[in-house]
Amino acid sequence: MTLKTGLPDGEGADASDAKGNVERATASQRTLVWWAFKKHKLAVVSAWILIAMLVVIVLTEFVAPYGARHRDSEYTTAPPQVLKLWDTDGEDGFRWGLHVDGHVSEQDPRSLRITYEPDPDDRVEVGFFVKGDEYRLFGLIPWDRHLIGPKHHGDPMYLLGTTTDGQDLFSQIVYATRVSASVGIIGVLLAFALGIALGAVSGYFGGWIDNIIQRLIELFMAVPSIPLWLGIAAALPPHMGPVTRYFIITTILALVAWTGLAREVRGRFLALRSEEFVTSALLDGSGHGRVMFRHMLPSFSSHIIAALSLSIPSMILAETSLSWLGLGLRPPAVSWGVQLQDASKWSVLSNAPWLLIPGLCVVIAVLAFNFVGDGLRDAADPYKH
Amino acid sequence: MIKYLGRRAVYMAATLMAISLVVFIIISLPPGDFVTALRAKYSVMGQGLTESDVQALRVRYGLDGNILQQYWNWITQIVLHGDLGMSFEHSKPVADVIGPRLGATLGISLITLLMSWGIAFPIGVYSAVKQHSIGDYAATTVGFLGLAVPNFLIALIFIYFSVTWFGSVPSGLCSPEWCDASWNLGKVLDLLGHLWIPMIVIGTAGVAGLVRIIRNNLLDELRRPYVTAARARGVSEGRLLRRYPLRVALNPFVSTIGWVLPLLLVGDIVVGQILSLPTLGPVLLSALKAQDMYLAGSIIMVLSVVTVIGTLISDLLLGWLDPRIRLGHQR
Amino acid sequence: MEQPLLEISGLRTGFDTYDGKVRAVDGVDLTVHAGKTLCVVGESGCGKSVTARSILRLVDAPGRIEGGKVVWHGDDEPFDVLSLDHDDRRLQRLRGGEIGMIFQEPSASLLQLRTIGAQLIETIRIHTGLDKKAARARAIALLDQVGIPDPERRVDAYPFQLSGGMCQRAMIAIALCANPSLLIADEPTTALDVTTQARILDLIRDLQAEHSMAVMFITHDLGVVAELADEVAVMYLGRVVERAGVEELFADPKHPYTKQLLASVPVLGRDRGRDLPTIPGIVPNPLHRPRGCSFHPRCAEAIAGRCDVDDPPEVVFDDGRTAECVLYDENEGVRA
Repeated sequence: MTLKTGLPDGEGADASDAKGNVERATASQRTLVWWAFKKHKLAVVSAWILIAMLVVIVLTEFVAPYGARHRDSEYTTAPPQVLKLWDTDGEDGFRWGLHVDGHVSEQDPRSLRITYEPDPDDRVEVGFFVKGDEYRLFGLIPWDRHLIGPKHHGDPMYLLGTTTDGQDLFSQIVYATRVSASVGIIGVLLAFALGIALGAVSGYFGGWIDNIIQRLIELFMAVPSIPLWLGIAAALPPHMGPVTRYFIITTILALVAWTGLAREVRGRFLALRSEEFVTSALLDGSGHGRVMFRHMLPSFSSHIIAALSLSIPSMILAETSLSWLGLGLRPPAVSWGVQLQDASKWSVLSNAPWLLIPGLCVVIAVLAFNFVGDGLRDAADPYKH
Repeated sequence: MIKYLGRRAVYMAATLMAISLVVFIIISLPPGDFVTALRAKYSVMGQGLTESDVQALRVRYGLDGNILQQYWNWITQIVLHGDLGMSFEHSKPVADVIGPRLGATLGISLITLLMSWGIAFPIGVYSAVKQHSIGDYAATTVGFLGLAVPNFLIALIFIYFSVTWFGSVPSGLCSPEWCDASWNLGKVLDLLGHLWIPMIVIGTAGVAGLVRIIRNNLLDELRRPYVTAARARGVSEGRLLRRYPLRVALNPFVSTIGWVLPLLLVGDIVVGQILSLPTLGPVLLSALKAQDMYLAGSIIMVLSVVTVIGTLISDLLLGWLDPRIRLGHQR
Repeated sequence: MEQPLLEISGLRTGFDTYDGKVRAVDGVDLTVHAGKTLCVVGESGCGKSVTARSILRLVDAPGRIEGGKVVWHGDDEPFDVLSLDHDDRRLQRLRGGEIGMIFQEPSASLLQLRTIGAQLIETIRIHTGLDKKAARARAIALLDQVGIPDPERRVDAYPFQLSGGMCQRAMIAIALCANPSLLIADEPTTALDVTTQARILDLIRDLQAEHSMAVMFITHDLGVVAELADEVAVMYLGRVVERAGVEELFADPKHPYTKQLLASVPVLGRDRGRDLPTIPGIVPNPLHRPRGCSFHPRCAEAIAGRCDVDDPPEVVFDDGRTAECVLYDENEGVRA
């Protein structure tokens, strides 16, 4: 007696997406997600930032002008040097050439404070792919080329200034990016492994298994996480190698973050359990594991990636805060949080605001992961506006 | 309602159990115990302790026996006698270290919590009602930044500007001339003058998160059929907003106590450190760094209990606000 | 002829989406006569609900009423609803006062956190100025009138404590609280089970007779149309394609779309054991509306070179019924 009805009636906007034109109708899920994602401008810009970050993580030593241990005791807490394309004050007036001006330093005899003035006569030639400190690319290939650096190895070129130890801030930030960003990514992957295992089992089987796992998750969520990870981090033996410490801190952060992901995964599995394609896969004789991870999981992979991306910021923030408080990573390991310890003393900070630049990296990274996550989440339902 | 309350209370008890276990594990994680530390201290002073002295001390502090017995001793001491153990660093009972600072911590957190709500609620509502307006974009942007900037960075930036503009950093909770004065209007004003700085640093992330929550919830609610239905029967716009979607969006807002409170308490660690406030934060930090585990563990325990109580209060409020919960229809 | 109560002419309502503008309602003309029932029927997405919502200006962003007139004749002086200011008292009085409205999902249309009594009393007080006590007495009387048993107790019930049918009754009570002269019912029975549907329809019919009000009934169910309607308007893709009295329409459908709609209704006995005819194809995306008559790709009688090129004319027949189709251009009708 009723007509063929496909959609809730009345919303013109819904109707527009229900039956697309041919191109739209034949596009794959992945293509649709990509189209929707592209409309989210901030997300696209953020995605590029994340890709750049990934490049920095992989090619750390190449991107950094100086080696991790480079220390210039003559240039401590020196301000950023401006990269110039030409100068007009050479002997022959105007001339091209990438360079920075050197500094003349002066020490106040009473306060012992060193002040720096740019010295236009002291020209430091800067070039790309220059020879510098030796390193091993990917930890394997010995090389000494750097993306950017002074043409004469050993000249000072500190684009973002130096730290209180006389280390190049830019290089240090590059090294810190590898550590801080990877803590977030690895931590989320660990949390995800735990979350997906328990969440999938919980949502797929339901019943008493679900009940037990859900109560466990609720308990975990009710325990205030932040004071606890402070405590656990502090209880670690102080004389731990930086690599061990890195992995343990990452694990602690993952232990705190897995519950949210587990809930997300469980909700999806619960919703999909009664779908026909699941039933038919089971009737075809696929095992539970195969149905869960080959049939169900791929159907909401965009949601999962979005959830992962949205979980990374809190990890990065947690690591940064923990390290800044002196309870997370410790020197010689260098992360954004460790770097910011340098800026904690107000007597230092008031003369060297550039020491806050690692903080800017934190903010940018957190925002980028958030925007990409948001964009993906919105795009994951291409049929829904 | 009674069933709901009962369930909440059982959860709270279970949570407290879990927290106490984890805290105890934290306390026992570093090698050596309180007596080992004491022994080291005495031997530095040239007074060696004999093996039997050590054993006696262990019995006295409940540190003999296996780990389960130790936990039992520890927890019964807390529950029955309020004895949180000894602080190694301060050489006095943990309760005496925590006690005087607990008030300031709770006070600052509570005031910041109320302020955060007071600020976030109108902004969130405005942002949702005037979606896509300039004000909305501004609020959303600030909200994103507020969540992306770690609070210690806010504190550092604040310090930088404070030093470059005023030449110093205001610290403590009161100016020297008012600190010992009895309570009067001048002291209250002075306190407020000092309080706004920690409040900004502690509260920013909370406010940003709350604005986001209220905005998203309200946006969801504004699209619901009951809004159109109410408009169709002539309910005026202002009344409609107040009586209908806002009423619903209030629920998730109330249930945020559970996560805002720990956020504030951690903010206190950062601010207390930088601005030298008489709160628990700096004590916790130095205890953690010195591995003064009884003190650190106890502070963590106290903070967790405060959070759990906060969550319980928000559950009660929810039950009061939402008839579905009160009448046992959902959740 | 009867007195027109509400006259919609040239109504256009569009939705701005990412992919472009969707013209959900694209030039609709409708007239509701006092005391009569007009059924607006059509498939999902044909714009019938948006038309109903446009009358009281209830279209939410990104939707926007872009043109046309909605003239209300219920007052001493007719006025165009669409040209009123937002805070015009006449608009406030129209909403819930002169025009009551009920919706598709009764329990979602009531706020779950307040009792139905509170929501009912609120509306009564807005439109009648009764004090709290009197409004409560009236609320109980109204609940009794719409067939809610034990109204003294139910008045303090929350919507989630009532069934869908009971919620719809409560919605009807709210819609009736100021004795409206028009009730707009936007698929009020779609979300309910069949027996409840029948009872709600009976209730609406009884109340209509009792209050001598007009009803504009939006539905996709031709059975409901046959049962309730005096007049019928058939909508397809944002336009009214045929308009007729209910007997004429069922006896002699003019527009090919109406014909196919009627053919797809099963008839007891006749259709046993055979497949029901369906309308071939799907409703086109309103973003990519076909050129010419928007029904021509699915129409069995389409004339190539004509229907896919020119907009169809509106043909007015002798008895006042209309159809938007080229088939009747020359012989039967008079071109409008």
